[in-house]
Amino acid sequence: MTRKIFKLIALICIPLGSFAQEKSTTMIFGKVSQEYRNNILRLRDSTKIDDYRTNLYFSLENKRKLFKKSRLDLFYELRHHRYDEFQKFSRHDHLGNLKFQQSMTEKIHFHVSNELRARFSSTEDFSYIRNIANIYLNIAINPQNRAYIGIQNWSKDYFDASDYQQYKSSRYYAKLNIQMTKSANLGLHTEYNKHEGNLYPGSRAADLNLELDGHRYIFISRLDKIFNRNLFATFAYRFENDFPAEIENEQTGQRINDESYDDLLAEDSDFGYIKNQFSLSSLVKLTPRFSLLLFYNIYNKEFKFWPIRPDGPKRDDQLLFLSHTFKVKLGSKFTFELQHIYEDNDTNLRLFTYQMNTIAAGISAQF
Amino acid sequence: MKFQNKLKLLFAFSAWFVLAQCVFGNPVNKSLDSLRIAIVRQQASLDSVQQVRSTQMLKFSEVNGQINEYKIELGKQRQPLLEFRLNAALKKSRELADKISILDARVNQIKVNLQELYKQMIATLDTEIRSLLSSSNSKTPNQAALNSSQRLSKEKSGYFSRLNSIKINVSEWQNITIEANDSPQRIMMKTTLLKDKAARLERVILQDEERLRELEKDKKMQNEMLVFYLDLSRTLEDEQGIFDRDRLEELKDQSENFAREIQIIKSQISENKLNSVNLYEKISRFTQAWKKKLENY
Repeated sequence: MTRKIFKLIALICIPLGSFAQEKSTTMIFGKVSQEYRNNILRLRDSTKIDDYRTNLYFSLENKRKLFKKSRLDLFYELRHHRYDEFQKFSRHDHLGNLKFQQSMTEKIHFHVSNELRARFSSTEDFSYIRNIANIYLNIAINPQNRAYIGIQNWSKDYFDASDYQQYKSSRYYAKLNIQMTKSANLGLHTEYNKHEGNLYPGSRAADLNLELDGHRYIFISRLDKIFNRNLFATFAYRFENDFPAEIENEQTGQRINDESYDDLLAEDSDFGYIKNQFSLSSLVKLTPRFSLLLFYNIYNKEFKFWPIRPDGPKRDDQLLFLSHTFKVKLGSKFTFELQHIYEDNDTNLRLFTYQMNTIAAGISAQF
Repeated sequence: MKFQNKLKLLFAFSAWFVLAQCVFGNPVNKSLDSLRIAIVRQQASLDSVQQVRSTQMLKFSEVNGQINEYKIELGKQRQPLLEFRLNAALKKSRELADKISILDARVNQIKVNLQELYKQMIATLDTEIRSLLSSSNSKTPNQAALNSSQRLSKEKSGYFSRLNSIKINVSEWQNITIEANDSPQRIMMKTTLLKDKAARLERVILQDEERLRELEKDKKMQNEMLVFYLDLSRTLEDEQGIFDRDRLEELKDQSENFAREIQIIKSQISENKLNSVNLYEKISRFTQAWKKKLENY
């Protein structure tokens, strides 16, 4: 009995003692930008469709220490995009994120986070609720190397779509971060991803009602390097191999290897492919007030089951994505930003060949 | 009085009330219970003194930051006002170092007390376990006695690990003292030894400060990269597969790792600076004692 009382007192007193050390920081961020896009549909025959878009972002973040060994981060962001002419593409997103961290020992930290995004689009079919739950362990193998083991669970509901759509996936991953020198880090990431349903409902015909299940293997290697504390560069390579699982049409009972299988699968762009992706991102600190971020990305996506015409070759895409962002600090709270994006998709399926340019200017404030 | 302090007082009062009930209500474990109470009391004192110490260390670290800034400014241009502020900060730093030394002595004393209490507790638990096992009339002890002895053994091993985890921090130089029969040469030799240690400590502080500057710059770059990635994530849809959204989480984690490393180095620097202030104070006392001894020799 006495021991139980002691334990109870310890349980009550430890947190009480820790409240005195509680630290909480709150940040408010706001940004307004105006951008011009010259091909808002990203399709070959839509190059003349251009529009101005007004973006508004507002976020609120609170980080607090809970007790002695845990922390809680809360984040909310409103993202509003409004097209001047093609208002049916306007939308606003509410994004909430909650992250809890607990130190289990000095070397092992437990993290659990949940991100919920609610998108309300002017076109009802594009509105959705997406939830990403993430649980992982951050293990310090030694002062230089860290390992991460975790599970991510995605779910996405197009709640307003005329033909109700759902997507979910479970992603199991392991990561290793190796500190090679004081300013260079190597990251290795492997992931197995089991997905059900369709991530892009807009891209499939309405008359099909498939159970689109698949498996995906992902490997990422990444090298971070800080040069002279003026240049931060990241080189990354990503490999994805996606396999469709057995597919069954609920209405017709058709299964994999049925005659119409390839045609059915071709309606979806997120299945059955091999992707090789290279990216370079670098932050150049030109002066203490002036920074430049370059993000260059190129990938090749070979679709295994998507013939561009009957008995023709399979679809093969090469996407080039270049982004340049300039930032000038105006005082301690305000920043002026200028961004340019160029996207070029070169594919043997002519409909999806496109070039797109975006130019945006905005001002942000952080308190 | 703050609400948290009121809550603490309330809980402390309730805890003592419950403990008192337990002690008077269970005469068999009276010595064990009084030891438990004494341990809880000492542990609470230790926590409270350590909390005061960490507050004082924070102030000490702030004052030392100011001293560094004043020194850098004075290196560029001599200003009487800055010199005055530097002297005031140096005085404050010494005062804080003295306060922290007193607290350190108290921490060490409480740790010694705790060590003694743990040893007593282990011995008492041993006696209790033996008496439980031998009190049974039959040749084999009954189940209740076995259960109680297992419970007490577990408690004993807990106290063992607590006893082993107690570390009393005394620096090597703190044991160097002037003896009554020390000759001036011997005092001078001891002073030189202290000066060597102070110089070594200064080098360690300089190295740590350099590393701290590097880490702070790296963390700043990392945070700026994180902000840029956040901007990208606002522009690109996750589903496009161009931008890796996990990268944001990774950068946040790395930033936290940097923050943790910075915190450790900052606390090392503060502790070493504290040692340095105390060491120079001791060197000055030794030099005075040497001069005095030389006059009387």
